[in-house]
Amino acid sequence: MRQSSLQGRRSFVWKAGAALSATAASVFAGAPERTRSDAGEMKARLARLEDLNAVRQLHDAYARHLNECAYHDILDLFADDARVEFAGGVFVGKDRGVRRLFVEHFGRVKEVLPEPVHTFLQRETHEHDAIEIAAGRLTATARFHVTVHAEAAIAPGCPLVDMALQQGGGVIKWVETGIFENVYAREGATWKIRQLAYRAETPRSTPFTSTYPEHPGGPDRLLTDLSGLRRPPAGLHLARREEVV
Amino acid sequence: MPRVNYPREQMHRIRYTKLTESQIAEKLQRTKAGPVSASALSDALTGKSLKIVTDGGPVLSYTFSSVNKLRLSEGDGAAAESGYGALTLEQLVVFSHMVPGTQRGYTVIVDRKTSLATVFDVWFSGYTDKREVQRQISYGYIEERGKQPPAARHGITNRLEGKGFYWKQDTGVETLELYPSVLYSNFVELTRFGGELSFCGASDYIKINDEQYIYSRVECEFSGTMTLYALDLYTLKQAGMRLGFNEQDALDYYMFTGRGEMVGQIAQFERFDDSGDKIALGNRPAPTRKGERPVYRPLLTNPAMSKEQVEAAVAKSTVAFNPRNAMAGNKLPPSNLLVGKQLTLRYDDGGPVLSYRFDDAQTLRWRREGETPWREEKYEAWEPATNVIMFGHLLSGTPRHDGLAVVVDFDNALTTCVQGMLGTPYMANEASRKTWFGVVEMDGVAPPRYRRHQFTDELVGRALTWHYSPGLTSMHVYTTPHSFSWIIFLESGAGGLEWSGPAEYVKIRDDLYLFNWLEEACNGTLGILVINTKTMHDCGIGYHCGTNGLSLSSIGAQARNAGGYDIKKFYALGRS
Repeated sequence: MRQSSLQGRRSFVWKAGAALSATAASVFAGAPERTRSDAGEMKARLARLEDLNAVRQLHDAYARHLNECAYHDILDLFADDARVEFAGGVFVGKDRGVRRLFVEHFGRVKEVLPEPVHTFLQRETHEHDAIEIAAGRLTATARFHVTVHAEAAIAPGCPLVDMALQQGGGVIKWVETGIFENVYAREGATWKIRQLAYRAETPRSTPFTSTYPEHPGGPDRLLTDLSGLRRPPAGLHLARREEVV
Repeated sequence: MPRVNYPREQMHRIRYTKLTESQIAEKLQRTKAGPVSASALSDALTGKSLKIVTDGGPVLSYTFSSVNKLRLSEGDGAAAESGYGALTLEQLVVFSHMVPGTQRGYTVIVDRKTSLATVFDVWFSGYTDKREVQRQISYGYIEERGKQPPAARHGITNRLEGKGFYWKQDTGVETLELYPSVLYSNFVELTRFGGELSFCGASDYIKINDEQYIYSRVECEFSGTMTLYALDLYTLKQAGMRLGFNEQDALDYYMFTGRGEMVGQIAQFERFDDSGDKIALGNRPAPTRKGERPVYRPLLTNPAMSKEQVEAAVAKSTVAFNPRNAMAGNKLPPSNLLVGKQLTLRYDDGGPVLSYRFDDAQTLRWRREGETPWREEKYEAWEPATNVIMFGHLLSGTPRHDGLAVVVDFDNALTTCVQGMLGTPYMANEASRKTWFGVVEMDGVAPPRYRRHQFTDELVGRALTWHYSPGLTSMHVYTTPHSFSWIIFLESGAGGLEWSGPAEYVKIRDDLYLFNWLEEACNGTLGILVINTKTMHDCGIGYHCGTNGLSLSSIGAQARNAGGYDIKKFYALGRS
């Protein structure tokens, strides 16, 4: 976080790369003489900084669990009423749709699935990344740019693909850039993911075309407007922040 | 009497007996005496004792009492006597024996110069088809008292990948053996099966040194026979053994020597620093049983269907040109050249005479000569060379659910048509085909009276890679005038699984060929392509019936030249 951001009076927006410990040290170093009300404001600010860091750590945990194929651990990051938008599908409920996506779909990556699976997620430092803590500190929204290693089956029903599957192939692997636009909720002292929406900047694979239970790992419903998969809507809920104010 | 031994059925049509374990045990009794050999067996090991230690594999203590008798202790086990045979190839000794009273044995390649050894542990009754020889390979050395074990080992390699050989064994058996893969190889039985078709077998390639290698293959899905030999690239000699049961279920267990000719070397597509000492198999689970390896077993994934099942599948779904098709990712753009045209294609020798009207780029009407009503079909057409059109469509309502792939050369008023039909005497869902040559009749065109497209062997020996869509690339090796093989690449770019099928090659023009193949005893597909070797692009049609129904689908891929083998001379009639 830039030093200038600490001197403002407006909303807190965190930009990627911040580190709470350094920030907290800066807060106190820059405030040798404070009134009681200043101290209250600083306490509130610190709380918000802790929230920002918690959200960032939550996203990092998501990436870490995904990269370790720890799909059950990913579930622990979600709120009970969470929903995930992924590959043209909406997965609803931590123990229903979200579990289905991560355990039944991502968890079967070795079986070669027609819809995409993320196999590695790399956080990118991006000027458009942002986390915004709502007033009241009960919810937050965030945008994270990522580089994703993904794979999906080559369209099935072709003898050459059948042959490729038998030698461990039959998949297309690619690296894409994408954006997570997430909503978080604080449950007591813990932040959880309430909504996780991933959009590839240039999708390369087939989105989900059927829903659960017809598709055992499928979504609860399909996104009707797939244009968002191709071009993330600008200024959805987080406008670009040129600087933190 | 014919000098060429054409079998009653080619290898993929032979119904090899599913031998039982006890039948195999009975037939293996003879192996107590060791393998037979047309050449004199070597006495290189006679009077010697060897202890072969392998990494994570068997420890074998041998005493060779004569040219064909040995005693073996496995690990700390009791010694047992067995017959054996040995042959030498330069400094290498290849010896083979079975373990009496069992269905297993060893073939060992010892390098007398380096004291390194490669052990093939071979056995029967290790797979559903019990006659199929299984193998586990271990690498090790000859233990010598007072000497440190050597650090080096023989090991798998891609240094043989791409090479091809003609071999003539001391038995008189001649083969062409092509190695376009690190998992599989091609073999053409020139004498045992008349050299009409090529076949493929799961194979191992092991490097001894830069000029000497070990090769093995098992004729999985056929007789299950193993052929294993050491070969020397300098002297072009081989020494090895063959073990299995032939089409009469008789035991083949013999040692052989041979002399060869290198027929070529095609390209490899791995990274330059990849020497093939590991074979990465993507998402395939790690082996869980001894001897496990990738084996293409097409009838396991494409079981044969009955006539009733075929009819039900066709009724359920018949689709022409489904746009979601991984084989068509690089297809040529559709051609409008036929739109608005009316023409008749007249094929020779009682072939069809078909009149066409092309309403638009996807809809045609056709009728046979003498018929009045037109029948409408969906079609696709491409222009693989100037004024040459390939188009295809189903013939709805025909009793065998025919599909047509037609090439029309407007410059020469010539046409060739491949008529696909469902069903063969072997499988109801297998396509059969008839290729017709003929002429184009239309206003302002005078067709030739004698000239026709013709079958050709110009592509035989060549290898082309075909890139269909992201992640889907294969290689064709045009192995004989009547067959070809296709290879799927591994993620590393090395050749992987491979299979073969009967094929036909027709020359349309210089550098333009109509090629078709049948995936017989496989998934039953008929593929028909026009290959342009100038543009290195093809266009074509796949005709296939499976449990999901009947499909006629487009194919399109970009080619690269992978080189070729100089093998046409081996298919000349009257070759001495």
